[in-house]
Amino acid sequence: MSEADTPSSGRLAIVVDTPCDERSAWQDGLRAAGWEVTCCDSAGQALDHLGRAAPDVLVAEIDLRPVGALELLPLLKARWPHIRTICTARTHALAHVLECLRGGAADYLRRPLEPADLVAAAAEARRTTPDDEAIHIEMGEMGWIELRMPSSERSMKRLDKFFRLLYEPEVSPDALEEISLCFTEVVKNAIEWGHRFDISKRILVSHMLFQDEIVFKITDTGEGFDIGTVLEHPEEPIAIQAQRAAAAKRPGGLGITMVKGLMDAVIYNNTGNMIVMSKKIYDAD
Amino acid sequence: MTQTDERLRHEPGLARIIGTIEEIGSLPTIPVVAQRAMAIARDEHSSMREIANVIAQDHALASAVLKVVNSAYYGLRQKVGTLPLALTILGVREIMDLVLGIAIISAFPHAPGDELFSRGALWRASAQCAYAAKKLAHGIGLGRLGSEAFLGGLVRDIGLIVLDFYVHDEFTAVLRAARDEGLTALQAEARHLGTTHASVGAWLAEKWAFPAPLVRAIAFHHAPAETPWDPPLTALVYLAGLIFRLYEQNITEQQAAAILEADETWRRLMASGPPVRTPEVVPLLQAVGNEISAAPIIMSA
Repeated sequence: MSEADTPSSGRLAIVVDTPCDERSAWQDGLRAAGWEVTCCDSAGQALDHLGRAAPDVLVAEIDLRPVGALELLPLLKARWPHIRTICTARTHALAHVLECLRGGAADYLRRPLEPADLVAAAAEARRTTPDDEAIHIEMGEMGWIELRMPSSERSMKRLDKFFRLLYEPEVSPDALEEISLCFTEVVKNAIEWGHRFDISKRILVSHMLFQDEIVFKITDTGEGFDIGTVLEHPEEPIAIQAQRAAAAKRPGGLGITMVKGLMDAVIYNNTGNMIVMSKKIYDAD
Repeated sequence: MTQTDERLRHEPGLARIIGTIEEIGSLPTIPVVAQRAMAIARDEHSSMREIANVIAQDHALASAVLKVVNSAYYGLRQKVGTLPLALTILGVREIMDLVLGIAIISAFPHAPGDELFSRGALWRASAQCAYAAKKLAHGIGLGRLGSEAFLGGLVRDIGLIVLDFYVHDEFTAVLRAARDEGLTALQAEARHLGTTHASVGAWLAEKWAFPAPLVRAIAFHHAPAETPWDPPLTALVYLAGLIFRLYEQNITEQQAAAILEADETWRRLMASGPPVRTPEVVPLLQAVGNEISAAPIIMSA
């Protein structure tokens, strides 16, 4: 069902933040989009409210004192796992982005934030399922992340957004865009070919930022994709498509050719279910 | 009371061997990078980028890491030439295991072997045991002990290296006696040295401040039933050694499975309950055997 088809009634949002003009504007924007909205001035007030009515989406400010969004996340995850949480940040901090990802937040939004952007994020968060959010971080620190993500495009988009937030201070916009393109291409291959759209399967993503190089490793548990044929003959994509057609295989491999072109190094294993790619990063200037 | 204190009471030769080693006065120290890796492994708030930087600055270690990543074990279709790629491929856990392993092996200089003993051959077999122990741990629900099992498999026989290094002539005589008298090395050590490589290895592990379960695994890796503490790690290291020996013999997997299932330590471990789970033994032996055959040579460059 598309968002346009989704009934507007029954969509409940709780906004947790101190009263301010921005919060009022969000409230108006969400209501205009069909959301029922309750504003709470503190985490305590929000928890009281959660005892009475469980919202679809909770929007919480990280900088709220004494208890903010990061402190709320574990409690929400334990007691109300179906609630999607959007963290807003008056003060942007990379460590907070990582904590949001670790804590299972559906999104992280920097302020000031237009009401339309919050409405779009709330709609997207509402479509997110607990499965999509079940990203298990095995190792998480700035510059070195190892995690398992559900085999779904929504998880991929969510993770891509978090990666962008984490590395935009260190990577030029162009390079960031290219890295994002390659990351999503490889993950899509894992979802489609490795796991045949089985969301219960997990994709292992490792990521490392080391001096002037950014490296990703993406591993699925499937039988593998014949990326070797494509990568070893990048100059012949048309011929490869003809070979695939002759072998009754669907067109494929063009995305991998793109990855090879945009990244500085691409390495894969013999079974074709693990790919490692790296790119030198440069300052935006 | 430490393992060494306990064993000094029962093994008259241990004090003499330790005395000889201390008299020579050049006990290898565990390299700084290994100490750092162990500290990081114990502290979840430590930085992996920090250990990556330490590896990058140690050219021998970096070369060894690259060599391992480019071994057949990892099955890559291209050669990995840079450390960031290598570290990402390995992942945090394997990096820690490898750094420790390489550091420990590099603490002892290489030496040419003879028909009785070769340090190179021992380290190769130890690496195979290390990978076997880790795979076994994962295969029976003890994945949380994977790194400890790996290290235990790698260093269980470190006492042999110590004996070869410090009391070489005496050790050679023991091995010769073992061959001539039809004894195992362990029996010959006990008869002629009054102690064993297990006790000497445990003493070194204590000197190097290894965690107590690992010291016990070294001390009891030939006799796990004798330790009343921490049976999982000791049992894993012992069983990895048993599977390795079975792997070296030309027997079928069904025969190996029958031997393993009759083993007292295996039975005790399987009966210990969750998290240990009883696996299908033949597939487990196949998986562990694959690890043994593919295990990369861990060697300092």
